[in-house]
Amino acid sequence: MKPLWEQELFQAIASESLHPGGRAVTYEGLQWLRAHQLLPCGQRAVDFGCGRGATLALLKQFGCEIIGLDRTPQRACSVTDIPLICADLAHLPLHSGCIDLGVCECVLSVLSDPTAGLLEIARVLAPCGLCLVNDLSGEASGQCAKASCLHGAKALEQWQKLFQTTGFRLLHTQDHSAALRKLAAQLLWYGDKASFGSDFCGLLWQKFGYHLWLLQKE
Amino acid sequence: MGMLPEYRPDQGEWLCGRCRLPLTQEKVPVFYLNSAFDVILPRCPQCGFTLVPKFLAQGKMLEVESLLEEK
Amino acid sequence: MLDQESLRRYETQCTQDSPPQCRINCPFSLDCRAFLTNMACGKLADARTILERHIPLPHIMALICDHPCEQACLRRDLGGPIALHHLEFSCLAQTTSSERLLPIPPKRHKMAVVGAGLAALTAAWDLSRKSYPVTLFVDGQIIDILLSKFPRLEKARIWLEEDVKVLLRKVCVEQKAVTREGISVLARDFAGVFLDACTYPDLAPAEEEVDASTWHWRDNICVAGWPTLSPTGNSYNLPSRQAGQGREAGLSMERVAGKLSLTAERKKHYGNLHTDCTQVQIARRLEPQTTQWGCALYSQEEASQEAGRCLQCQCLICVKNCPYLQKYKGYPKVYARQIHNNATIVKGLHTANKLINGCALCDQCSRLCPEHFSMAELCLAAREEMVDRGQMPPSAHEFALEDMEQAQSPESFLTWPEPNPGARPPHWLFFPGCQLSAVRGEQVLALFAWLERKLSCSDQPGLALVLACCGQPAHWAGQRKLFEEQLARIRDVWQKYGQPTILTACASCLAALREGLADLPVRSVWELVDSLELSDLPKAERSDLPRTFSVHDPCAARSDKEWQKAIRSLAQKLGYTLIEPKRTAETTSCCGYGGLVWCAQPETAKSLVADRIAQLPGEVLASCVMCRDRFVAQDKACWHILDLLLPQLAMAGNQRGPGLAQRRYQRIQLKARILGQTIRAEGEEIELASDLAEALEEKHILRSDIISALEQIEAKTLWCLNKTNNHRVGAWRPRKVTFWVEYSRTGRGFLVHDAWCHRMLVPGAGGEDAETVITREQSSSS
Repeated sequence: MKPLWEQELFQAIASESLHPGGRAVTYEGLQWLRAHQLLPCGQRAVDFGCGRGATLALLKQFGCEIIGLDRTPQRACSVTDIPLICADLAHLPLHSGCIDLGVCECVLSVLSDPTAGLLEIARVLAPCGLCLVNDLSGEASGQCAKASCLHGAKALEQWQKLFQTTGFRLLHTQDHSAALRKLAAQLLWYGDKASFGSDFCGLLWQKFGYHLWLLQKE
Repeated sequence: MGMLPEYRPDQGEWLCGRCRLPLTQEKVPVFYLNSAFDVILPRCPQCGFTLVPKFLAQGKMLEVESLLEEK
Repeated sequence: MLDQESLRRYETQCTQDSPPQCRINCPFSLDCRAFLTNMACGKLADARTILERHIPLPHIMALICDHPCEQACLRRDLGGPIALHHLEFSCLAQTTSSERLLPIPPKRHKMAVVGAGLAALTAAWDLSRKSYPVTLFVDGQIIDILLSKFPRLEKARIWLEEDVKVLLRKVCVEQKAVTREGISVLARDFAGVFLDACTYPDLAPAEEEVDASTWHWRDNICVAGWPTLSPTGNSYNLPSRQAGQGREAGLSMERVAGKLSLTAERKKHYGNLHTDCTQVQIARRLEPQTTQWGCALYSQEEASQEAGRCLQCQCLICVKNCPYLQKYKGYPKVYARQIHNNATIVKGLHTANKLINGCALCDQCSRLCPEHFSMAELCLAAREEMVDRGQMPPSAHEFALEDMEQAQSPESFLTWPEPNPGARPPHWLFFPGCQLSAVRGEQVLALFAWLERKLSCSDQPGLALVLACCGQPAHWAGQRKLFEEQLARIRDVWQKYGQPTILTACASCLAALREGLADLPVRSVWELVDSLELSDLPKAERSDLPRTFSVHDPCAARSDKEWQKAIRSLAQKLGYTLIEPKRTAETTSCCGYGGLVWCAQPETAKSLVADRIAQLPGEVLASCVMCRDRFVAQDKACWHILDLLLPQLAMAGNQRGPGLAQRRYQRIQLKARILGQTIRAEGEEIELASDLAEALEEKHILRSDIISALEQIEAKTLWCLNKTNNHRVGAWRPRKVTFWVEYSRTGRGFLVHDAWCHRMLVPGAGGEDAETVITREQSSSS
């Protein structure tokens, strides 16, 4: 059983961004940073887990110098002409302190060790560097399969603690749970539960939320 | 887009009451709480009258309505 | 406002997770409940683990502890305190230790313990187990010193040796008699020093000179372990006290060595755990048959029996009386946090929405709770906040609010006779409420007529009538603004009539008006009736009307002593006997109508009824028609006070109340009757297939919805035809729901075969032009 984000139907529904809310959610996060004078043009930004490059394009619009990074080499990245690194988040081939903005969307919850990932991001960020994270929130009970993306969801307090212990200060939180519900509704409508298997867990998705956090390196 | 759900009415010929034309299977967008979903339903090709079978209303529609409302 | 402060306030009100008396009084805070649970199940090894976790020198303590826990045990007046002391001894005697202490790297701070009294040994035990290097300064053999203080230990010498052996594995011993100067030297060389007052009474200061919460004396020296003086001047060693002081002193030494505050965050404060013992049977304490070393020893069966006597002290007073609180397997303190989190942290967590909307807002819990925790207050505030933030799901209370809207609409709303500024204003305004008008229209009219006649010959004549809704459904749904709009209409009517006294027949109306229109004079109509002479009420013989009832007070009247008195007085005057159930008057239960639970969570509402009717023997007398109808719907015969006053118009105690559609129809009928009009007969008859009625009721599809839909579908040709059976299938969407009807034309009109509905908007179904719908929806979402 392929993980949810590799299944055709999910990719079709979730469009380029492969996370609930798509570009709109990322945009809101970046817009907040810009409105608070934290994201001038020319910042060096890395999208950790860039997938098809939807966020890279958005970062470019915000005037960033962009680098894409993913664990699996992407055949179809929509943005050409930029450095694409194939690497694991736990071992980033980047110098310490060389990045101004890190973006990590719906990635931490599928890592086996999100702490290591965040520590690495903290390392490569310049002092007071920023990180935009969005991911699933809520308690993952035993029913979800190990490989499902719901398994890595955490309660809000756990996320906050994780950010704290990996050296970040939480600037702002946005609740985008409605986007998750909409995505789940689409999956429910178009798919049948058998084809999604354990990942979908039927209406279990109601118990989860989706949040965006803006972090700053301490 | 994946498998578009399709619903047919019970056996037999179905006519639109206004236009007296047989209903044909067509793609229709349906809406709820700022979400849109596509489905193939029996529809009158002239006036657009669309039939929603009971099975759909009490099945998938009800499930999705509950999910989006999270009561 | 559900903020951090109000959450804390709610949390301290619920004492369910406060420790029980045994644990509070134990110097080692032993989890006695857990220990006894294991003993009762015969799990001796697990029971032992609990003892070893909490108690220092467990064998010694099992032999000599003076068990202050037993003195505080709530069983002491119910057969005798649980024999914790005997049980601990028996547990240790029949098991071996399987404790494995993991080697931890030793800490920096070296500790000195001077003396070998119980306090000293406890301090040494505790500190060494936390990996502090401990040096014990004794003058002589530890065992001998202990035996001199506690001669009883001689018989169980092997146990004494066992504990000392375990202690010495981690503690260094130096043979030395310590002097006053010696203490100061130790204070210099060690990070912390403990001086045992029992061993060195001359060196130690008096107990009064030392801080009793920390046992800190001076510099880095703690002292504890004094013998106790009885009122007659007898000096003796009290083990629990000395060992307990030793433990506290050990904690102080850690803090002193680590340069931390001695007092900060040290003692947790708990509210007093309330345990309801009124239902507990007396069970005598079981004394064991055998002894070992002069100590009582239980066999496994005896131990199990004695441990089984433990009450497992808990509060849960409110939970035990409310199926809603039981449903979520928690208790109010936990729920308060869940609800608070729902509002402030993660919005719209599924479980908490159900919790918030499942409460009947009846406030029974606050009357039963010794601290008066009110789920009603909490849940109503949460609902209002959800509504303010636009997070209340539309379907939760929509049906009830539509019903309220219908009761307030021109077809049902009535003030009668019309206020006449020229005439003398009436003293009274009768407000039967939206439900009574919908269910007992005839009785309402008869009561109105009788009251008007009686009052006309009194010194306060004049009675007017208003048919409306007080707005309480909006209040319960968290819609404060909507509630106030309905109340404003009542105020308006009241003004127009020259400010009469309002007489309500419904306890919920009474509560709503007292809450929202507090300056208006409002009373229950039953109080007024009770003050009048009743002999001219029309009498009728009814063989089915019982002479004795269980009385069920409506939850909204729980604080209204006048209401309760009036009902009982009326019943008695009319020759009936009432039995008070266990939960009555102030502690009465809700029938599920309150808080709109019947609408948001019908299953929860049903469980409330089932629970209540089980408490009411025989046939029931209610003073709220919703209680009456809900009980009858679950096969409990119930009558309304109006049935006793006006028996010729009574509804039999097992006759089911009208369904939702019929209620609306009867409101309209009542108004029409009062105004002297008759309802126009429908042009064409609409008949429902027989099996359809009940199925529709469950889905909250009203007959009137189907009728209106059918009318529109036919008028605008919004149907399609199934040529196989000639059935027409069409749809009409009046507001937020699309109703589908499958029907045939008959000679007399129509026969409806089936109906269904959905909330999703389907262009081309429901009457609106498909293209218009698509364009509008797609442009609004982009």
